Amino acid sequence: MGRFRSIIPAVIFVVLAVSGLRVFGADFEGVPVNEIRHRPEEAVQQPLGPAELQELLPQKIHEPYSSSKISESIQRLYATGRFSDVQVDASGVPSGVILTFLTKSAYFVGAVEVRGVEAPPGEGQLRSATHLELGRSFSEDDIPAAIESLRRVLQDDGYFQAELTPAYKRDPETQQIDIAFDVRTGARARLGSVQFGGSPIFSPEKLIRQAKWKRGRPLTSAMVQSGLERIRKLYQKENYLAASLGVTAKPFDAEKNSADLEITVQPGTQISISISGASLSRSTLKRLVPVFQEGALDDDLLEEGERNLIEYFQTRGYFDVSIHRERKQNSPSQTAVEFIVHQGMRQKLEEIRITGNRYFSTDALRERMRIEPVGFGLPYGRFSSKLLAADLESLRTLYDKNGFSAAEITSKLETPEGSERYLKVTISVREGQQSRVGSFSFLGNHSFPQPVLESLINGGRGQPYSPSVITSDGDNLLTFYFDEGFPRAKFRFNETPAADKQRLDVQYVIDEGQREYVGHTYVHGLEHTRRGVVNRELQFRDGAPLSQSELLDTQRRLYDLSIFNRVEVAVQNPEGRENQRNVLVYLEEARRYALKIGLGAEVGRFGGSAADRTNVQGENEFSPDVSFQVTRLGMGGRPHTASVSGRFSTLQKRAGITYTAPRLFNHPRLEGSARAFFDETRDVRTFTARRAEGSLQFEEKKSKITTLLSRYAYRRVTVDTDTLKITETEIPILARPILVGMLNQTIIRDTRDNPADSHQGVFTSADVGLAAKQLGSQASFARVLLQNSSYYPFSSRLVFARSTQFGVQSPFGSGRAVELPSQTGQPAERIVTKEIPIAEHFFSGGSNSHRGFAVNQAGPRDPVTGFPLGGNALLLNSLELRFPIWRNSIGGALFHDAGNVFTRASDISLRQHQKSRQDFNYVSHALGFGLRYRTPVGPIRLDLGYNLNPTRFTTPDTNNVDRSPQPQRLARWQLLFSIGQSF
Amino acid sequence: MGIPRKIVLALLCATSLRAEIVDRVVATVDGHVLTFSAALAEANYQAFRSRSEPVVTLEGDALKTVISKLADQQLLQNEKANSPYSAPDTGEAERAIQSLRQRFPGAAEFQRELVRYNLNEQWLLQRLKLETSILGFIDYRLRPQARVSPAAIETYYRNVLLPQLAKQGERNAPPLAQVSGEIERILTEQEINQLLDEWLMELRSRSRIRIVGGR
Repeated sequence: MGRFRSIIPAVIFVVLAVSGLRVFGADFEGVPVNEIRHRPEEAVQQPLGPAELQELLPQKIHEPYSSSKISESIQRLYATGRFSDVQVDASGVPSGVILTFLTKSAYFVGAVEVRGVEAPPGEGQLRSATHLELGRSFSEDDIPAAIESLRRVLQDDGYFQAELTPAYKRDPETQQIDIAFDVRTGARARLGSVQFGGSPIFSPEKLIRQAKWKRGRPLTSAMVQSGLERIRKLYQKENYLAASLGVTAKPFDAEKNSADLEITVQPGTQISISISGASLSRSTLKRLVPVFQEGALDDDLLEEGERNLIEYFQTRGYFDVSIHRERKQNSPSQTAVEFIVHQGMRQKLEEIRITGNRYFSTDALRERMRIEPVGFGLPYGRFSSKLLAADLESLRTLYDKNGFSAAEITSKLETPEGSERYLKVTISVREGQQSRVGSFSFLGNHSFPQPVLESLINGGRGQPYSPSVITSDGDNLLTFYFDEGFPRAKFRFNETPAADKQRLDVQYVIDEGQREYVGHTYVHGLEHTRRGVVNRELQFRDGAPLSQSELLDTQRRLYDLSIFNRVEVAVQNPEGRENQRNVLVYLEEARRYALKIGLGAEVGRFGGSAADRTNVQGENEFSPDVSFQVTRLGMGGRPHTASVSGRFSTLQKRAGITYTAPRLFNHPRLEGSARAFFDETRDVRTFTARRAEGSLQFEEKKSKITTLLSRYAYRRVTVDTDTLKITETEIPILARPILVGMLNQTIIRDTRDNPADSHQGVFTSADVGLAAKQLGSQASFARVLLQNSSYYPFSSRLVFARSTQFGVQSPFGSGRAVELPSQTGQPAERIVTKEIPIAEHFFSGGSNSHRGFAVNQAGPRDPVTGFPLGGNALLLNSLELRFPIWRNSIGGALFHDAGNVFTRASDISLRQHQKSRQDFNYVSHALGFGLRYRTPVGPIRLDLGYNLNPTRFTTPDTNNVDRSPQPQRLARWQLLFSIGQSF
Repeated sequence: MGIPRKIVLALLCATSLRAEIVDRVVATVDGHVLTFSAALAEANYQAFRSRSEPVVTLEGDALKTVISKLADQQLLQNEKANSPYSAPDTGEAERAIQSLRQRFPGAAEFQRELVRYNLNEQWLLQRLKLETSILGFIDYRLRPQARVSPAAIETYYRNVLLPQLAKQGERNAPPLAQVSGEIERILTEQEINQLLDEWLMELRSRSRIRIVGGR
């Protein structure tokens, strides 16, 4: 009996266990849950922590089993986005039931690559075509659509036989999956025949010629699109403004590897637009009537054209203009639209009066208006009914924003008696009662105290009540919340009349929603770059509130390092509901080595033999140059760059190495660079110099427009005395090889829109240099060089530019000893001189400075040889008017350069003439004309300068035995060729 | 006894510890989960309403059919949530449940029957409310688009109603004017059904519906 009793519970349990198989979980309903386990499919870290899981699941331990709670638990787990499948397993135990959540982790899109395709199409285009976005949840169901989309893009560029194979690389720890599409493209198809369907009007041969399509050419999307665009322009030129054309099929012949193009053309009707009753240029008509730009003819566009024409004439004094249009169908394929204009009397807007305004002054209101009475540059004033309506609306908005929601603003047009030509506008303002805010409060702001939020808004107690201000406050508050990790924050407001009925009590209600934090940060794609380099640019931290602006800022900073081709920063699982968001930083490192080869040229008066001591100006010479630069990025895994460069031309030979370290000492705006180069230059006719220099520079970006440069340079400059064309007695003083150690401080303020070709803005630089014995220099001198350039646009393409340069340098200290060789066999004389070496002098003249002189020919000249010596002071002023000549490609410039180089600062003079042929202290003027051809790297420039008062000097007459001085004058005309604007 | 008691007990414990999947994800509709228990409950609800036998398990085509119905429901719910429509509570669900109760002699029988279909009254009420709300939304969206022309009414009268009445031996067919209202109602419902099919096709084409296999 005892044995039977002990078996009964087991039997009952078996019965229960067996019956439980028939219905899902029903037998567990109400049974206490002893334990809840979580078993992910892959034996890695569970995506959610134990505490998070416990809080998430409605079904709790020690509570009764509930199938509805189990179902809801599954839904909540899935809603986190972290799982692609969830099943619940229940096991009955004597005291209850054990639940196990069996989960399969979801994966999220990581790096997407498309390999094996020769551009076009480019890799970026192919990646976009997959529609696989970084961080979004991944499903293999998306791959067929991605492959199909890739296939279409490949076919557009002639790859009709491409084979695509996806490959996946999963990382269970991060739940990221990298997807690579390996593509075997085969050969690119060639263009076969082109057929035109529809109603082309033009012959197929003409259309193919217009499109520049040649049979046998490799078929690419760019080639097809540019051809279609040319054909479209042909139709538009013939007034088929609504022509539509497109490729309907591209039948592919696999044997020939060629694809035909089947194009359907619907020309639409031929449209002619004309205007009568007023004279208007064709180009203006095209600009005002949008039928031309839109390529369609419908009533809406014609009406808009009519409105634009009315406004056009009204702004030219025809305030009463009326326009109506007539549309004629000349034939089924020809439509003519005529705008018939009745201009009416030409009037002038004499006066604008504003009455009834108390809260705002008349000036304050007039500032917001666009209509203007007659004045400078406005012979008729500026007026149209559209402008007036816009101005009234602008004033209404102003009043509304300041609490006058019931303000009425009306206008009246009057013509004084006897003078219908003169118009007066009176604007009447009825301000009404100003509503103000009574009490003001916040509700729902659990995370931030009221003072913090109040600093973000314009509304508040006592402020004018305005719905538009409330809307703007709401936007500001939501932007703040979004940046503080509350992406689901909502804003609304309540308003109730205050007790005194004069004010409104306002309450801002914020529903913060759940705050999101940064979980883990996963950085991908680093091969050579140190992780620390990336970490320093991350603007967010694990555990901090998730801020979109910090993510964007991080992306920008990583791009600014210039060592990554691509930077993507995204949130993993953006659609899932979870508080901790992992952030993905996916990087593509730039190629470490880059080679640049440059070709350039200069034309100017720097030619002639170095031994020629008679031709002081030189001959016009064409000087080609070749440059190269090999750069290695990412030195030592940091965003440092090392480069070796060289430049070779008939004027200059230079070779150097540079090492640049941005973000020096982790300072975001500090860059350091070290440079060493060797240079041999003969762009001064007077001598050829050799220079070996090493320098160290620190550049600090104080702000977006202000940069501070600190530089120490140590150089040895040797002048080849065989080439030096100055008085022999001066050679030892000016030309002795010398070591110069110089410290420079430069401040630059640059607001130009485009440094290579500026249209507006100001550029100012001030450079102060000091060479002293304490800095290792054999010559001690101080130098100041100032430059200020400004640019003024007069229209979209007419620019007035000016630049002023002033430089001065002066020796100081006890000087240096120099040996003067004796001519008479006596011992060399030792003197002390403070003269600044000739290679350190200021020189001016040429395409980038004074265009009235050949290269470096301005300023003092040797009294015996006549060759330029440069000087210790520089003054140059340039004015230039830049204008277009043909489209955006060719431009012209009229210029005036004035200035000179002076021996010393005290010699600076504004005299227009030389006192004698030995006096060079005067301002030389040059007028000129230039042509510019715009290229992607800047304009190619040809300038012709005419010197109004060229320098007169003397040189020895070598034909004469006594070598008596002969009067000379520098050439008036200078032809100069260069790349880039002159300033 | 041939088998030691401890071994029997161990075998029985192993049996009782044998895991069974009590619920799982069967499909997702734009990220919203459909569980097996929800599908089974829906199948039993349909069986309860149609007085068919209770559904014990679902698999294969039967499961796919229920999933499809639930997916349509979810798509319509999503559309409703994104629209300005707000369903007024007219008590229709309570009236429906009352009508269902009246099929049974008493409350106890009604409750027993619910248990047989593995349902409970609270769930049933929620289900009926959902149904009412979705039907109301469909009506709100589609009825304005359902236009029945007088020509269509006349065509139905001549080509469908009259032949039907003749077949039934009815000699004195009512005039068109008398039945046009009813015909219009029928045609409008047909039109709404067709619009609903088209709408659901369009919703499905731009949604992600994924059937999830078991582990």
